[in-house]
Amino acid sequence: MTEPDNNKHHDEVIASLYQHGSVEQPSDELNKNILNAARKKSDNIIHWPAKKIFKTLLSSHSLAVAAVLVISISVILQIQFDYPEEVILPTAEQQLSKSLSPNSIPKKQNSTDVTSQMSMQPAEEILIESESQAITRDSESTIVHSPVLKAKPSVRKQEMDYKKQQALKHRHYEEIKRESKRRRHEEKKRLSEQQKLRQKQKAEYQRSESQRLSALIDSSPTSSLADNKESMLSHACEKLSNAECLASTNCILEKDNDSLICRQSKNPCEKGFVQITQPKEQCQIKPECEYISSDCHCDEHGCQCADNQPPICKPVFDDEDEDDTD
Amino acid sequence: MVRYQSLKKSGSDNKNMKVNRQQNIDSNTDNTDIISDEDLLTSYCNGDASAFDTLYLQHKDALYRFILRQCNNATNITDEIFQEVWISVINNKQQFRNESKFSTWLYQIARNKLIDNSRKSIVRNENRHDSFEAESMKSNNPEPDTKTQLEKCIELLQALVLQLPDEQKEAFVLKHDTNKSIEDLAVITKTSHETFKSRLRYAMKKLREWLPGECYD
Repeated sequence: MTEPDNNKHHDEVIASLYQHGSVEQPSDELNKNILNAARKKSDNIIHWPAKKIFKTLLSSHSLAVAAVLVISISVILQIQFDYPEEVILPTAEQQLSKSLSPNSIPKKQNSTDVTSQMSMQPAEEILIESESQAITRDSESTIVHSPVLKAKPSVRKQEMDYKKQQALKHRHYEEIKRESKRRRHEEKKRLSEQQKLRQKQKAEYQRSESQRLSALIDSSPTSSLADNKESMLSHACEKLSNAECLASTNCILEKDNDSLICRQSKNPCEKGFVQITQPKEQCQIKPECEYISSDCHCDEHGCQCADNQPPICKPVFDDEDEDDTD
Repeated sequence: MVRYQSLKKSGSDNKNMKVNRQQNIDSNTDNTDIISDEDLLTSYCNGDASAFDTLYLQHKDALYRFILRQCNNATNITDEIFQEVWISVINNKQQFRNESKFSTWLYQIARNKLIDNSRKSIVRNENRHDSFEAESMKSNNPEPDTKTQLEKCIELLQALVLQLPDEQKEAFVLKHDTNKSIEDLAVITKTSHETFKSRLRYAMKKLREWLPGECYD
């Protein structure tokens, strides 16, 4: 037998001997353990997606997920804080049907009519009306407490539309408020102007009254006596009623015993002195004139003065001079 | 020569026994011929636990012996590593790609575990030393006549295999326990085809020299 043949023969013997002795096997317990572990893992495979999601949430992305949750909740709270009333968010189908419906344009016109009517009313009423309209709309559309919570596929677009609507609504309310304020201001202005006008009319009436008296004096029958003007005026004064006398610039109403008489103004203090209209100022404006006050009140029944003595404007030294001359 | 014939006969009987064992496995899993290891693993990944059973039955014995020899027949360490290997297969089944055979992947895992284990402790060396001494004692001391010459030769060969250098022992065990091609075994050991053949040749040469002539008769 040659060397290679011998080696080949020996190799075969070694292989036979080795394979004959290779009878070791893992123990049954070991087999059982491994197969059980495999089965357990297989059971886990069936529930894998849920576990995977849970693990994902808790492991690498947990921080990001937590951050997103916190931001979402804060946004929702902010929206609820800004708009505490229930928010109306029409669904995409409703929006589509609205845009496609032929009555959409007339509805808009109606809404503008309502707006024009509203502009004629106070802001509070308008706000109440708009709220009631919103409530009626609630029955037609979906009530959503928060637009973020109801977010669905086209939620971004809906959110944008909703925000636009809210902005328009706000602007509209602001305009209405401004309009109402402006109207209230105008009303006040009008009232003050009316008051001023009334005062002016009153003053004009008083002025015209005095002018009328003067005219009456001028047109009296005694005016024909041109040469005796003093007697004419005196005569005219006598014909005047107490009220007319008090309003006259040329006549003075004074107490004579227990009755009142109207006479002609004698001195510069009395001339132009109207006893009923601001007599004190008229008197004191003239130098060396003294005012003796008294309140007089005239109505349709006549004039009544305190102690039956009308106010008088007389020269300061009138009595003394007379005494001296005497 | 007669004795060798009986040895050869008993060796062939042993081979037949192995074939019969494999046939039993095959009969238990009828689809083994049709379904490849890779398909079985895919089925297991999809939740079919029985696919893993089949896969395990096909590879458990050869893998166990490979680890056992590498651990110098220390069963406690072998059991531990064997379990670790399969648990690793179970846990990392999703990472298996069909670029290589399942068995190649399995033995690569086992080999990595063995390397990790050898790094962790020097138990293997100690075991080798103890076993070497024990075997030396066995070979020096006369054996009782209760064992036949065949049994003695088998025991002696197993002891001699353990004395081989690690790389040569690995090559020898892989070649004779897995019945894989040289190409596949080179992939498992991450060496070239020629290197693996060389290691195997050296291993055989040493065993030929060490094994007494009476075992060849």
